[in-house]
Amino acid sequence: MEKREATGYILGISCFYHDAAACLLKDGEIIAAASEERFTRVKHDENFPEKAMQFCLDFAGIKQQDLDYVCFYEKPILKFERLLETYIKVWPRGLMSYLSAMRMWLSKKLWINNIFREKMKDYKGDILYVPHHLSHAAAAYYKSGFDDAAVVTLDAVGEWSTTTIGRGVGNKLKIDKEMIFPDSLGLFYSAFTYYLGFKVNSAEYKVMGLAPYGKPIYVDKIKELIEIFEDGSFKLDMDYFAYEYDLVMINEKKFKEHFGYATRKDDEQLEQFHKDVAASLQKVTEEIVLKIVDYAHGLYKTENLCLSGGVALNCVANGRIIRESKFKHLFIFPEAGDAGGAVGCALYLYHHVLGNEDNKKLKNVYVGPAFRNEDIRKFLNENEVKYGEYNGEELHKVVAGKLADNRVIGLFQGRMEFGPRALGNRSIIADPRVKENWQRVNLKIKFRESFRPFAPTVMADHLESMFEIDRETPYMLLVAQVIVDYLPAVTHLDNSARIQSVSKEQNESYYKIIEEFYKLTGCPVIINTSFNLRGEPIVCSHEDAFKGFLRTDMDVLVLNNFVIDVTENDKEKLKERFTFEQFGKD
Amino acid sequence: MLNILKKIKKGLLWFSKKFGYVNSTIILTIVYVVFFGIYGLLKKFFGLFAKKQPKVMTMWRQFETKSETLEDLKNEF
Repeated sequence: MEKREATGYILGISCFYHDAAACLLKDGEIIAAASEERFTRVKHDENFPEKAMQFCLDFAGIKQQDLDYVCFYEKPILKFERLLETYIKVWPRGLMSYLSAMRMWLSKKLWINNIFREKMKDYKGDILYVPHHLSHAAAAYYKSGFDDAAVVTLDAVGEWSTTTIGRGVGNKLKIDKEMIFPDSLGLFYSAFTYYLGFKVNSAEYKVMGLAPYGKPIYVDKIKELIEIFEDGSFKLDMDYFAYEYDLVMINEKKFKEHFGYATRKDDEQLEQFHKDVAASLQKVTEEIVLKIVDYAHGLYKTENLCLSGGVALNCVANGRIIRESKFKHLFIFPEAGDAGGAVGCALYLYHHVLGNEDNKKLKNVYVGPAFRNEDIRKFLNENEVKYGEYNGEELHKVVAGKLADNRVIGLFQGRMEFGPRALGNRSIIADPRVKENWQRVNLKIKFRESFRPFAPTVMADHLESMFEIDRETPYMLLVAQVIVDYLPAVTHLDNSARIQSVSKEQNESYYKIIEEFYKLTGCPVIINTSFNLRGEPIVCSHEDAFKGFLRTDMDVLVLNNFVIDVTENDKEKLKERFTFEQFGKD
Repeated sequence: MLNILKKIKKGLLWFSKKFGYVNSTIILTIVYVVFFGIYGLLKKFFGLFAKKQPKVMTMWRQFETKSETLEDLKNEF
């Protein structure tokens, strides 16, 4: 076979568990990445990310045969081995779980190589498999900008590992320690998510949001289910947890005996008990996370820490790391969950295996699809939508003016973010000074639980005067106390907020909207929540955004340069032109 | 005529899917009960004679998956 020139393109793929995604690197730079759910509109879509992959290739203007390498974010046979060993260990209790898992594995997951070949017929190179936690670790370390860092991954489970500690030096990354299944902080948190009546692998962040409403009076009770060692490692009492052998997370009978309450059903009222359990769980989780990072610091004595894996999205724990741990600098990969594995496996190959040194700093996460003004104009005209068209500064002033008039705005501009947070390009924004906006956006726009808090976006140059934090937080991954008293819609019960700071370099248009709002009101902060309805993935295209606008109480929709005001349009009449997907509960 | 054939094909597909589901359930259950069972029971039986492990003070262990070279990454294990 004729050897072709290297192109520098590496494709990373994650799929077949939850949150399938694709990422394309060009010479180590993330040039395109997206989750499959954004295209298929199926939340946490786990299937092979065909559409996300095609977007990446189209964005770069290349074909499958132009790829140097394709990587997958875990080693499937090792994972299968773990399943088999576990089913032998728990025999005969695991029959139902075994039947469900084996059908999936025998029909799909064991044939990943074949599936790749079928979906990527024009790619003739090898498919490369990077261990799950190494993929997580690589996503964090290789985009941290650090030359020497401790790297901690905290996740549910990969092949065997559930938690790892390693070190990155230069372009080399090595995991030294691991904890293995079933002792998993991610699964422990998910088990309580299930117990509190929320959806596993999806709604863990709701438990974190619920915690400030409760008192941590069940810490001791929870600690009876988990033995925590001085070095942060822990052992779960598996009499209480059922995920090894059952289709549910916990032994419901044992949990009821232990806590005195049965598992909450998702339509049942949240009692003070549930809030107290959430608060207690959060406290225990933070204690473990802090012990683990202290142990990592003791091992490597470096100032820098990289964090990844699903538990790294627990921004309350992250806030405590920056305040209380011995590390001076912290980097968390913004898509710390499984979708980020698509980035990590490609980066690991590029840096560690192929030996490249360059491109070690994450510039931003606006690496998803963008839509052209011409296409949006055509779409609006075809549907007889009344709109205003504005350019540059004028647009920022118009949007800021509407915000200052207490209008709730759907903001759709530029390239979509990669990761679970909307950071100004697929966001719903509102005035944080108006307390009612908390309930209004929760109940009438996002149709979600009223207790859930909203995050503020603050101009980076005003960050320290508004919040008790000493570093920028561009990816909304840190929680800190609010200093001022005039932001009721973004200040949680415990006076905290999950902050996004934005600078002109990171997102100029978004920054300028807030800057104009600041000029009008003296407030450099706005509410920012993801542009989606309950149970729906964040909007991807202008059509998704427009449908979201029609289905909710949103006042204004911004689609790139176009501003659509509800007062100038008849929503009911426009609705007749569209069919709407039904989304499940999140 | 074509419509009838299409309906028959659809019906056959539906039936084979259901039949496959039942078959796979039976086969997988036999594998689980017999093979996993024998191995699981033997493991438990010999486990009774194994030396009692001392109480552990840490759950950390060495990470050993080899992933240094392109050849390592070609393995699915």
